[in-house]
Amino acid sequence: MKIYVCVKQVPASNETLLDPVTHTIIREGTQSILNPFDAYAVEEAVRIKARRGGSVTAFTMGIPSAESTLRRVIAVGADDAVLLTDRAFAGSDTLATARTLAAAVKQRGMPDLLLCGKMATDGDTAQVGPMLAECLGFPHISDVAEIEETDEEACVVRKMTDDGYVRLRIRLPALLTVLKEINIPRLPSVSGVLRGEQAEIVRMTGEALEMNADRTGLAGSATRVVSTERPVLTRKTIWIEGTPAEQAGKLRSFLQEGGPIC
Amino acid sequence: MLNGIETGGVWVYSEQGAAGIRPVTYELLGQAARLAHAMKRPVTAVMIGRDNDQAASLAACGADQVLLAEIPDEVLPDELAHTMVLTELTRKYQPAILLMGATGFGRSLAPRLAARLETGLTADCTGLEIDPKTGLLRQTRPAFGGNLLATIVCPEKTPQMATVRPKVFPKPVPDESRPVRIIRERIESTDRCFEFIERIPAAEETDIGTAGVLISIGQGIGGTENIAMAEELARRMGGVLSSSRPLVDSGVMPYARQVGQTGKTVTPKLYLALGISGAIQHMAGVAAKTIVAVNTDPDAPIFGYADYALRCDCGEFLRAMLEKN
Amino acid sequence: MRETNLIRKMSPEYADYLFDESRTMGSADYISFPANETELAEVVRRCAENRIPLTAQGALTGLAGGASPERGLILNLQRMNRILGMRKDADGTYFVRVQPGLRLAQLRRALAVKAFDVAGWDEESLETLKEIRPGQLFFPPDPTEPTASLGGMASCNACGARSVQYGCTRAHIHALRAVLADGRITSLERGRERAEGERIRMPLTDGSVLETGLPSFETPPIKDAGFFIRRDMDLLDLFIGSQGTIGIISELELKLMPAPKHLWGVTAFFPNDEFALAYVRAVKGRPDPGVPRFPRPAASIEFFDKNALDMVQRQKAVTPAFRQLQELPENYCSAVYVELNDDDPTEMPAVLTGLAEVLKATGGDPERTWVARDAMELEQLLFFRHSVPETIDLIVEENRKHEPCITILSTDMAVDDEHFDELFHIYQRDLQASGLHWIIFGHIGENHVHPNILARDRKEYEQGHRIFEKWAGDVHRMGGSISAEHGAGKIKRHLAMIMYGQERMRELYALKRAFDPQGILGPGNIFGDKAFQSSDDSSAGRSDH
Repeated sequence: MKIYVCVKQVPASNETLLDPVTHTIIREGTQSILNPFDAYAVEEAVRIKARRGGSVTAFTMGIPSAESTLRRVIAVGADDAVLLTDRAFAGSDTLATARTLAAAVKQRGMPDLLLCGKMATDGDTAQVGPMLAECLGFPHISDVAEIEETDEEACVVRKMTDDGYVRLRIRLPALLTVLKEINIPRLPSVSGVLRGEQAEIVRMTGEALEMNADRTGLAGSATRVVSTERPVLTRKTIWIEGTPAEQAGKLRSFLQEGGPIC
Repeated sequence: MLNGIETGGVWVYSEQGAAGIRPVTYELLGQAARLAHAMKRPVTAVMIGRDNDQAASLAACGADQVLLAEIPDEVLPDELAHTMVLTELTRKYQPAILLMGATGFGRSLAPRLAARLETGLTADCTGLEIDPKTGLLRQTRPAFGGNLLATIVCPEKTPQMATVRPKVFPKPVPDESRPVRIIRERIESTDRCFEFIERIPAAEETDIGTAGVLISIGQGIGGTENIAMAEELARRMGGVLSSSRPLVDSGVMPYARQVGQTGKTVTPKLYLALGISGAIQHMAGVAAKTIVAVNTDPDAPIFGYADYALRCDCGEFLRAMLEKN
Repeated sequence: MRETNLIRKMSPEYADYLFDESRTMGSADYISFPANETELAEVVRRCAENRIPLTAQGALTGLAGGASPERGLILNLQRMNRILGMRKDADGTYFVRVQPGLRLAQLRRALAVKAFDVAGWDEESLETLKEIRPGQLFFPPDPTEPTASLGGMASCNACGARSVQYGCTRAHIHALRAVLADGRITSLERGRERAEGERIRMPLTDGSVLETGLPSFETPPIKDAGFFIRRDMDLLDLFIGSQGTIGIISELELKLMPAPKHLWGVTAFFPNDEFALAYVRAVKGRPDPGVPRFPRPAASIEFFDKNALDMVQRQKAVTPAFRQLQELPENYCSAVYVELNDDDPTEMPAVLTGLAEVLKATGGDPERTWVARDAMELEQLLFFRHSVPETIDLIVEENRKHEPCITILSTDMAVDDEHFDELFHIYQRDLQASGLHWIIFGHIGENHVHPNILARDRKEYEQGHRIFEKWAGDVHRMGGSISAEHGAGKIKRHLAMIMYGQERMRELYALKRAFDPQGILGPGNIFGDKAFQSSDDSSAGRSDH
């Protein structure tokens, strides 16, 4: 089976902290990591390959340092990896990103199965997966909690819906977005890390993908951010002091004023 | 105008759940009416499927007309089928704005549709306004894990698409006197993503979305022993245990218990936050009458939201609360 | 003693303060939660006036019962939990002043994200704070329980896996303030107040001086067991490791270090303990013949035997919090975890290649390893490490339900490198022969691992204690220390007696009584005071030997 996984490199933490003395946002010290949801997609791909044979290829669109993320994916069992990097891709919204990934997938050859993490922890939109499916003309299922069976023709999956879990069958080729409950991603071994370091990562630019400038990057994005601001908090807080026993006692009396609580 | 439907209108996708039209649809109709008023355009609710006399409820909450696309019965709504239908309808009637609930299905359907229409989509909006100068929809959503609010527009493409989480906006008071106007369309919806096999009965019946008292635990809860105590406290208070995202991400709590932007919006009378830092993305899911925060970090943002603040170790707090029988 | 807001009578609502992590149950008549040094001193003074013993507590995470009160007053310092200030000295070293109730995890977080409550800080502290970046500095000691208090860590001289590279808590305390048994206060700095040979002249903040003499011997050089005694020693070292028997630490100045920019962890699985030990020898720089040198010093080394891994594996099925633990490789046996500090990630491939060679030469397998390359992955490995003691806690809790006398039965005896393997084999032999439920894991880098006996009933509990006594004798014979980091506390004070012998214990006790003539500080810690009732007449010094 030919399995592709789309992954993203994201900041290690979304916390924007204020310096307690200057009250400005602290930007240093941000590490980059593999988007946690994607680790589950990669693990699932590697497991399916172990069961059914075939290959796993990872794709990512990002700045050149995203190569280190791809090496990690190889370290846990992917066979090869493709980095889409080009200044022209900068500023892409989810639609432009999906188009660019689709162009790369088409160039490398269509897979039987494409796995994505449900969403990225920095954007949280969960949009790229379904958009990519549309760009490729693949059917898709989101929120997959388990891939129960798969063969050359179709997959049976357990999916989470708002009303509980359902079992569905989807014909291949298809795109699935996966949830964290699907597996426990492995850590690489020493040998795996060394394989990742030695791997050759394929790089593709906009030209290689034969993409028009108006289909990617800022120009290819339909949405724009026009402003940002800090939210303002206006609640009046009562601090309850004392030892834990005293605090619990005082809290009880405060809550009881509003009606019996416990 | 076509079939009585003006172009450039505000559309709300009416999602069907197992128990009928999902409540978020009505919440969106309330917002749509406000936006449509500013644009001097009508509100259209779009239903895909059989009518079953639900059009009246949509009209009562703000729909000026109901566009009903009849397709064969579905056990579960299919993203490709609905994309096909909505594509045809939007190309025919050209709405300016299309709103959808950011439900599980909505978050899967909206991006697929936006890609087909090659238009812009903003997910999980907490604010929607019409810009008086440009006439564009200004869509506000939390960014940077909730520490900033970003405002986004879709300046060139239509329809401007946005999804909104359930319970972010209130349900409007229904006005049964509003006229019900239904326009029927029959559309081919042969494309399908999947073949439905069966529903799997849920092990977990607890719905944090309806609980009156929530004991909510975060990363600072301090271990399994404390989680067990929190559960006991919830039981004694007639409440339910809920969680912030990190504990769900690490597999300690099931996703059904997650409160926040990417989880559920909750509206309890009492929200007791234990070891939760209070990032905006979490607090965006909390609309409680009284918020109590317990945390050892005096700078935790949650204290800015709390009515009662306790700088205390969660384990010690729980032991103290439980000792009083 | 008259009850006030500061000193309260014990009542059932404070039941949780009667025991520490070891679950050694204590008893008390009073409890106090001072908010600052002044209140702390006042409480001690009142206790002295009324001849009431007192036991200090930090975060109650101790494993030796040191904070479990043996009657009298509980002096709980949790409200003294602030960071008071920081400074940088002439050669660029940063120091931070803290109250004893501050928890290690809070200090770590403050340094990692640069989030401090600066209320009341002086100008110098604020200026110093402006200079530093989040994550630039760290406090190296890493006892397995990060919710431990700094005061508690100082009291038992806590070590941790990183002591291999960085040393124990003692090495990172530059200055301290302590309240003595009569309420007087001393303020000491390393290098400033020292003993003259064996004579001590300790200046107190009220201008007076406490004069006495050190015991005639020096405590073992390998690991401290309670006391630290050296000729010409820094006086503040008397308070570190002595578990509240000499004075109550009211403030600490900690020395910080630049944080390693990069931290890697590697867990390796071995088919048996012998191969694991051979790997450990190589990691520590003493490879067996034919084994290549380990490419770089390890910041910490930990060992898990098969029983420990089995225990976690069983718990995984039962406890949802453990669900995300890595799945162990097939046919696992023992595991060794190594932590590597590294400022240059580009060197890592070479280091890992070297590590792979050492693995192959010692019976390991580079494919049967887990590598953590960043903070998030490391958290997974640390979560795994932490799950071992947490599982022990859960099991002991369960067993206590049937037999309340059961506590955690864990030792941390240590010997030097030459004797370590011998001691390890003694542990294995004796435990295998005992028929008890046991595991061995721990900080093998400093040659102390923690054999844990999970007693299921009173008979097994007592049998476990006897085995520990036997080992204390073995360790003493090998020149080692009975308590490398937990402290003797109460659970293991008879082991202290075995290690030091009667004569030396008398000298240590005389030292303690020089500082605490009435014997009210930390009753039951280190010294079982019944054994010393005959020597409670000396009050100031002792004759030179």
